Amino acid sequence: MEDLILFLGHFHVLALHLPIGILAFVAIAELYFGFKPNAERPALVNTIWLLGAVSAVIAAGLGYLLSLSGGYNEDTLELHLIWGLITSATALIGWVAFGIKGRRGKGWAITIGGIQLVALFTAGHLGGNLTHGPEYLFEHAPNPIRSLAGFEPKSAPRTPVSDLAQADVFLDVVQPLLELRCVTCHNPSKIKGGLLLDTYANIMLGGDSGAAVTPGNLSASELSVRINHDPAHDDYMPSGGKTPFTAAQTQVMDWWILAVAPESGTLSDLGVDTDTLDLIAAAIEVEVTVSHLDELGLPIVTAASRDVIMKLESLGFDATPVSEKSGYLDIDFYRIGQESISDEHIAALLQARDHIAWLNLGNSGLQDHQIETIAQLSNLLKLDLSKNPVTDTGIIPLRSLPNLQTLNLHATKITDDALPTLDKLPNLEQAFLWSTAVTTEASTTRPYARIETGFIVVPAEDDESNE
Amino acid sequence: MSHPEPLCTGYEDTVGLSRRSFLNKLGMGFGGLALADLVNPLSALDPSALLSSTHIAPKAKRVIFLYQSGGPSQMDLFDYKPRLNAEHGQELPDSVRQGQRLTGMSTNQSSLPLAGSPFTFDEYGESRALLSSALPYTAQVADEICFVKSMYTEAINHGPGVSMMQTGSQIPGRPSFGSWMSYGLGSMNDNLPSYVVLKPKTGGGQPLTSRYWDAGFLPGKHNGVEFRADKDAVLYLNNPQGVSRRSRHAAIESLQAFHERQLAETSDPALENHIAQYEMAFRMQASVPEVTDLSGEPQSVLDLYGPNATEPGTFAANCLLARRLAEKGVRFIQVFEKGWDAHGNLPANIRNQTKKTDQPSAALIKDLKMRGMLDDTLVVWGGEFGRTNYCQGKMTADNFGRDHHPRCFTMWMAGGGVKPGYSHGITDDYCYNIVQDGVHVHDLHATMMHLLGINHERLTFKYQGRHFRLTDVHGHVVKPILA
Repeated sequence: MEDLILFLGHFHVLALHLPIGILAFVAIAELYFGFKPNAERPALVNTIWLLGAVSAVIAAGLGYLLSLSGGYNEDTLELHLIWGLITSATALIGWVAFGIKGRRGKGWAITIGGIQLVALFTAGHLGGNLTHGPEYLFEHAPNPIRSLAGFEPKSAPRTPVSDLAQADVFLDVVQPLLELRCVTCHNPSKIKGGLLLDTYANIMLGGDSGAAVTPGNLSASELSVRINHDPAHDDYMPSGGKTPFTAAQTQVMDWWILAVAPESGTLSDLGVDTDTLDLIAAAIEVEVTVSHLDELGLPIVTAASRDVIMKLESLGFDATPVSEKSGYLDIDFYRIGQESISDEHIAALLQARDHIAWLNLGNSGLQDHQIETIAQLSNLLKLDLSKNPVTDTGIIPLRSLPNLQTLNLHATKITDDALPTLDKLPNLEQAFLWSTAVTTEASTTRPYARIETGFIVVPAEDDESNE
Repeated sequence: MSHPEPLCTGYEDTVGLSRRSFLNKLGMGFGGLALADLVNPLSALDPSALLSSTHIAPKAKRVIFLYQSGGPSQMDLFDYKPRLNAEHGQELPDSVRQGQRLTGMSTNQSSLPLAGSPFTFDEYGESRALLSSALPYTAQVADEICFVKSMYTEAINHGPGVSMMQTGSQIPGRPSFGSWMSYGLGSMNDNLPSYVVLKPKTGGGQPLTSRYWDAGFLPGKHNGVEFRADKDAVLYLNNPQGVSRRSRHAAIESLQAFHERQLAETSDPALENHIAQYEMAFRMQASVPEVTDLSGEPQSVLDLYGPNATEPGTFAANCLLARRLAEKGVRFIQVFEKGWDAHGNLPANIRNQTKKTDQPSAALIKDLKMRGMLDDTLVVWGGEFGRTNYCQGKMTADNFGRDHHPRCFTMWMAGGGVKPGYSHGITDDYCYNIVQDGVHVHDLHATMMHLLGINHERLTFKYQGRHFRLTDVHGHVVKPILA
């Protein structure tokens, strides 16, 4: 029985459009003929009054059935009911007065026609508020009109997200998605399922079916469960064939819940990884500002060609792209025995001149004169020249490396005289100088210098305690 | 004989192909590929089987895992719990135990008395890490270390526990972590295996069997290679008496020629594996003696590792060797230490164990740091589980034992992109349950892989119809411990 009631009730939203159209037409027609008595009033108008009255009564009856399903703002609902009945009653009176009693006077036309129009629009507007929320009509209205209608001026809209990293996780990502697809039914005037999704606090309160969001737990978060259902499932959201989330939007909602549903914070503060950032960009349809920097903070380059990598590999280098997203190379060289790295090897590196970001030539037997070639690899970030017989004068060409951050010179033949060269490297963060002739005194003034010392020796315990 | 149908042994994967040979084959152009396809359509190269690059830029290029077999006691080393001392001798409350199963060794005990730690704790370093007095050297590098105090596992006995830590499964047979890395990342130095295992030469404790570093269903060349503390670091590597290196080379080349002819007909991945291993063995004849020879190490470095540094097979010597292997581009070096299984005599056991391990573990961090290698070398320290807060066996005034405890234990990591001077996770006052930020073994694996630049969900191997992962269907990267 309950199902039948709801089944019929849902026809209210269809049926109501008939009385609106018919009665609006007939009321206007009555006013027109009332003011222009010499115009020929067709008898058909009487029939239209009858049709309007019947459709209004049916719509009101169906509306009552729909109201039994609950979930509507009580006050608005009651007003809507009253104005719906006034509309039906006026339509009946109109049919009796004009059709049966044959009234044609100006007074009758203004009174009945006027009341009919007012009742119709009031009932209709209240009904609209019930379905779409009270904000709906004036949502996009200019501020003067909004204030006339008793609404607060529109809050300054959040500046559109341009840099995703600076976007707020709730205000710029989660809330816009909820507003797009959920809030029309889960707002203070249409609390479907007892659930409000308009503010963070209300989201966390949950609804009749339990917690909408349980931070960190998707299966205990009704919101996630329902948007992930098969669309044919009874509990699928949004219901009633409304536009659902896209796949990316669904994933972003799930990501947010799994990330323990932070209430605020920029995406960069939250340490969101690049894959998720891509997903969020797709979900909120933001054109991500194309980063001009690679994963390593270097300018983006197209990947080194396979031929070059193969050539380096065949010479005995281990050459690997830094990652699948980066065009840069990580190159290591390990020798057997004491044979020094050849000039041919070093020259081959120039084929990947712009691509080498990390280069490890530690313990390769590298000579001073070969460093000139290495200094041409302008995108070097990390360079390991340790355990090679290189000297202070040998490393001088390195000062032209603009990006070098880490330089390993431990166990080389450098001395304090190498430090002026290192001072010229604009981005140098760390230089490993252990086991060289560089003195602690000279290195203390250089923040990049790393010279480790040994342990404070702990006195051996007496034998008794050692089993 | 050729196989028209795939075998059930991972036949359809690009078994035995190094990244280099993969690139070489591609370099032959489509002709080369097409020929391979004609020979066996299933051998068509699938680049996803072996990563041609990492998924993200790696923070760590290599891992040194200092495995503490037996299960070190967290509350006597890292996880300070004064309440255990305050309630020393009182019964473990049921509200704390919460029905946790016990091992067969203490399940029949009529009483489970809490046992406070006999060691004192102090704050060390700028990070003010709380550490036991048994770890004076670790204390000196505390600011480099990220302690994870909320590790947990399901295993309650050594076999399943070590298997879990090593392979991500309590049931033996899955590939070990190092094998997965070797399979996924390949070798940086073709003259050495990418996964090397070092074991203590002497001492009792739980047995360490080769299945802990086995490649499982991955191609056999990804097995961990055990370097022994002996005249021959790798068994059967040296030429027999009367066989010269040149004649051995010639023999291998001839064998290779036969293998390649066979391969052209059958495309049997086991053969490719054979070829790779013969070649590796030949190259290791030169590279292994060089890397295991400690004679060139300066005294100052030997002193770092302590008095046992020159005694082969000690933890100190193995840590030193691990650093040498890391310098040579070995990806995954696992140093096993035994003897942490202190069911009885725990105070003496801890003193003895830390005497063996404390200084070398800390020295490894120091040594790597001096050489500028700590930034891209991940050092991991820990065992298969923790120990109970209650006494196993008889409790006397100054002696007691602790049983196995899976619900919480401590591991530490250093270098390789983890947050230094940081402590992650909180256990309860009884050191029994995790209160906050639990890290499962799968999470540890996922995090280690992340540091190596690998998305743990994307390194898979198809075997018996299923795409297997090290982390199975589990594992989350523990973001807070990333630097």
